[in-house]
Amino acid sequence: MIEPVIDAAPSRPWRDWRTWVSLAARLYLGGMLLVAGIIKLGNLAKFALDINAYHLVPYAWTKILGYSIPPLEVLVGLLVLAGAFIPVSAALGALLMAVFIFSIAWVWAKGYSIDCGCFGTGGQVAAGQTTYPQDIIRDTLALLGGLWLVLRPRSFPSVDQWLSGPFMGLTVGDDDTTSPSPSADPSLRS
Amino acid sequence: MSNSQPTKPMSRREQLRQRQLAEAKRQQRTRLIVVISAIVAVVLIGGAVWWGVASRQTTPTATGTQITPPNAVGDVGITVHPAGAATPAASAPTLMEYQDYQCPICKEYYTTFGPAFNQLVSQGKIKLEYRTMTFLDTNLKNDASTRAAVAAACADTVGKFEKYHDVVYANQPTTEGAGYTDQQLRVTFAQDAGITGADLTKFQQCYDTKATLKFVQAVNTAAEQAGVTGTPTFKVSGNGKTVTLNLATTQPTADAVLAAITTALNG
Repeated sequence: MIEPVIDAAPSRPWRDWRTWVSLAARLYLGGMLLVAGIIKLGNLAKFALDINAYHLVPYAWTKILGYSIPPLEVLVGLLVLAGAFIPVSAALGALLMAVFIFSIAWVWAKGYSIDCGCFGTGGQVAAGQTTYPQDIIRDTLALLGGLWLVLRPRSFPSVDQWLSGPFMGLTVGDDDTTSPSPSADPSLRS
Repeated sequence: MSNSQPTKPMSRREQLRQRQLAEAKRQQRTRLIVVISAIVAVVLIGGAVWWGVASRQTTPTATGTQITPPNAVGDVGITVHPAGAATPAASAPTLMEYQDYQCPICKEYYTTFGPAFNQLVSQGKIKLEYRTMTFLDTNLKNDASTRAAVAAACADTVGKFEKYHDVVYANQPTTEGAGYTDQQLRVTFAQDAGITGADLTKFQQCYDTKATLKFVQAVNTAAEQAGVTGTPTFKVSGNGKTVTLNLATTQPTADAVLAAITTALNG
């Protein structure tokens, strides 16, 4: 459990450049996962067939993976975007990216042309029309973002930050006077 | 702070701090519950929406007893036995075409290579099997591949599989995804394929109850398990082995096709 912040002078996270890098990493990784997941949710059966085309897992696994990976992507994407439980959610996001990068590299190395014949939207896709390098670069950037977030999870604004405070706690003193919490003292605010 | 009571103010400050910490922890716990509840709500609502959308997908359902077409090869395809064809020798190679009735490239191959295939079959030089897939239903979000495959399998029960197969391709829509209507499949195509009278009644009953649906789905699953991910895909078996056949550079004549098959099997 994150130790709640109740002292004055919050650490002003927006003054630290690393916070901004973390925010950028959150938006990129979270955004990519969310969009990719939503697109796949539109046709889960097709995603299962695509997995079969990669010849990476036995046929029996393709339906299970095809129907479970996209919802997971969406959930992890939302968590990363919102900055919730970042070390864990970012690690999951990075893991998903690693799986996708491996799959693309595998297909590239094996020379499969996934969109061939009547597999894509009809018509042949020549080997020269595949975009494996661009896809790998795009996904690697997201993976690096996830790794950064595991090391520097703090960013602003985020759910994690909200969960760690500051809290406007008021406690009643022994003499029945209410002492304002230090963070409510305007002279101590930044 | 007065010096006459050195310890009490310290412990009072400490007590205050402890209380603040406890209060903060309580508030933190509340916020955590809010976040977790929001996540659970998103998951449940998302799941409900997805369930609602997914269950509106149309897949044909069978209402009749399931049957296997008479010329079925196990549950992986249907073999072509046109009337008057010479009986192929036991050693004749088998040509298998994985196809999908909504696949435009399959229609191209049917137009170009169809006559060559038919000639080889009627001369008894090859056995020809069609292994019909239905994955384009998933890509195109309709159920025309499945219904066309069911109809073709039903046509086999009245001995008109090959002709019906040709009629479907001849009528493939130019807009991919337009599919085939029930009217086309059970009336127009049947007529064009020469199914009439009692045969027509039998064919239509088979189609209306989707009696060959389970067979069609088994054929499709077998093709997916065999790793066929695009159509058309050609395989030939003979000499105790099965190999993929690429016809992209083959002339569309019976001799050229046969030569390509022989090369593939001996190579």
